Amino acid sequence: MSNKKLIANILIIFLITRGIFAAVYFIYCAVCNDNSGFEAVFGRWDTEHYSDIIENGYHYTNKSNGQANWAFFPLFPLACRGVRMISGGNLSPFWCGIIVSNVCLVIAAFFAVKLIRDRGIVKGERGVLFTGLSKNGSLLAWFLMLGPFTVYFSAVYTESLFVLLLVLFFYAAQKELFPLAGMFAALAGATRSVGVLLIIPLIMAMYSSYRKEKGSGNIFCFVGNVFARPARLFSLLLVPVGLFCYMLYLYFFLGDAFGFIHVQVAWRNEDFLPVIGVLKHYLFSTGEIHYTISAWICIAAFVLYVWMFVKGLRREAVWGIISLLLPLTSHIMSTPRFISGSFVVWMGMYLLIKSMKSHGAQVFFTILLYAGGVITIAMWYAQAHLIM
Amino acid sequence: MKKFLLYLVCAGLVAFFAITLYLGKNPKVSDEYRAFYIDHTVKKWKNPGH
Repeated sequence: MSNKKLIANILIIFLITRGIFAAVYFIYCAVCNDNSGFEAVFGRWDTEHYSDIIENGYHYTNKSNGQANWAFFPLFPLACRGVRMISGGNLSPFWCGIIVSNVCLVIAAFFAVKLIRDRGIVKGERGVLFTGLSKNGSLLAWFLMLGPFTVYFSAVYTESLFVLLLVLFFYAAQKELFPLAGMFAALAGATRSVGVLLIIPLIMAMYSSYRKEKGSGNIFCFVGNVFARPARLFSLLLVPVGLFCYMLYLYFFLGDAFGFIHVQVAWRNEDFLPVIGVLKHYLFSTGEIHYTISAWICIAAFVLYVWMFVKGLRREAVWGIISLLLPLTSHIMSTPRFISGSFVVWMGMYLLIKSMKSHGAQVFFTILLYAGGVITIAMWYAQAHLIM
Repeated sequence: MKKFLLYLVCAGLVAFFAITLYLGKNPKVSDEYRAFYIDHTVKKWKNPGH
């Protein structure tokens, strides 16, 4: 399939899924008698913080809970500001965010499909599911646009830009364009703090390239090789640049370079043992069912990542695991969003469904995923807690 | 020459990270900020006219 055909396919999938978003919106408004308008219904949760940064930049807070907007990383609001400037200031921060997110989503879907083709994952597609708009890896585009919790990729949230940068990172790493991969990782680090951990999959990609080149996998020789090739060393050192630029900005603005970590106390102040304590507490908690569901989703994600590792998607699996471990050091809140926004979970789901022997099971699980996507869109409109 | 320049850029990046981490270790903040955000000795944020 040519790039033109793929772009056309992705745009059709995009339009169909936007139609589903619109249909769910009208059904929600009719059923819940909500006349507050699209901006109010779709501008949920942190949208308020991002709109504030786009409009007013970073500033101190008067809220007694201490929730300040420097908890949110700057690249997404900066991109929205760019769109606002282009519009001559006529677009509201909300619409700037919607445009940035949706444009990023389309580009991310395009490169995601190209990535799984390059990785050789699409080989062996068979069955009724892999026909028409879903063939030759395009099913992944459907997952990105209609999978559970992907509603965030269309909202005024960092997720869509972050996913785009992740896809580009993995694509560049696959092509062994390491400086480019380092640059995308740096930009990801300026979008969400967890982006800095892309240094681990980057090292893995370099190691894989080294093994292919030399035919040996000696770790010490690999380390020596990285130091002997300044372009590779530079690629690795690029990764933390985005995060450290923001830290330096916070030092001059707040006097606290780690302000983005310290401000988390305003959202999460429970004192759990990282990861194990958090999971143990919420897996069997009966009081907060939405957190219990989130905890089980985390377990399912870990199982999927281990399976991906076994199946050879090693750097993607490791990224999925570490990008989930980091939020689990403090709380279970938002973890389904982080899993969905790790991107690699959708590669894993694609591979899992493709690997199913029964065509009926492939269709059933895909429909289940789309149903999950539609339900999470409805939950977003209705401000249900699980979506948080 | 290109190799040397790249090593120089790498050294510059390492210096940038080290300086930023040093600044991070030594925050210059108000007592109110430190008590609420860093030490967690108070539970309510009172904006001290930042």
